[in-house]
Amino acid sequence: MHHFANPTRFLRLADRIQPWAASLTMAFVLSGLYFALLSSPADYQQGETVRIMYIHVPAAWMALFCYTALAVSCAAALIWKHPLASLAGRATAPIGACFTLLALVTGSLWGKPMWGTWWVWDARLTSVLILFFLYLGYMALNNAFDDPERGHKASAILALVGFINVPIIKFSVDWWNTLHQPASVIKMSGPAIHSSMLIPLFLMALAFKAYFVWVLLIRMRGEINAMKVRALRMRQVHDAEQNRSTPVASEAG
Amino acid sequence: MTGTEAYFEMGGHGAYIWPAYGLVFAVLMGLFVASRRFAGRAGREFDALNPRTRRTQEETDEA
Repeated sequence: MHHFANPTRFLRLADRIQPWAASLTMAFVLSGLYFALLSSPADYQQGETVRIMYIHVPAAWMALFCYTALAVSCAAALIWKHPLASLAGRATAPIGACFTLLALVTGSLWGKPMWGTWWVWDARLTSVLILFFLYLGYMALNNAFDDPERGHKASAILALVGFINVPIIKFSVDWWNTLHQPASVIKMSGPAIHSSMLIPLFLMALAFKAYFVWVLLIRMRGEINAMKVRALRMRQVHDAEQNRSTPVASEAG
Repeated sequence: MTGTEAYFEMGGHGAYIWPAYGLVFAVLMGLFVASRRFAGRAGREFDALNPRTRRTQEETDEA
């Protein structure tokens, strides 16, 4: 992994991966939408609203995946001072925040016709809302300091403390009485969903995952260039200060 | 009601299903465009400040 800690080497690898991520995103989105909106059947109880599951569940999975990736990069940044880890965290947070927002809103749009309400303060919904605020808090704290290093450090600590929310989200439906249904795909006894519905679900999940890689690489490129710009500006300020102080020193001499 | 109308009606739940899909498309497309712009802007700023690329650019302008 340390081999790719070098930004130039990382960008070279990103150049190779990016077209694949873009192609896979397109392929999975098109095939996923075909199965989700055309080929898969309506549910015997939920009717056509089950089609919201094909975007709601993958978005919720991505919200948790992105936060885990954020926590891992923050840990790497704090413990090993990995040069790209802080930038990976900065690049991941907006993507995770978007997926969390999508999980919340699509869940609400699914909840209204099925539960008769847009929102309830049950453990699953509330903990996902907290996850959304954790993403916003991380991004706000990261940009709150003049010294980017202090911002990286403070926001990394917040992200790591907030990681406790990830298992709470996962097990909230088992630990508490919730209106939200318990797990029906990732469980010990195997998925409780028919394959005609599992196919679009997994295709959309793969589409979101490939999209994540694609956008992450774009944002990483931006973050690396922004870091280089900061370094060049610091050098310019340093050089200007030295040029100003040199004639004074020679006059004094 | 035609077949197409019935399809978009989604058994009376089209008002929930289509906005959900539309929102996913809008948010993911918006994030993609914003990310591309951010990366492009950072790249241009770096090229303008980097002495190596600036020199190459000035030589091209002079030519």
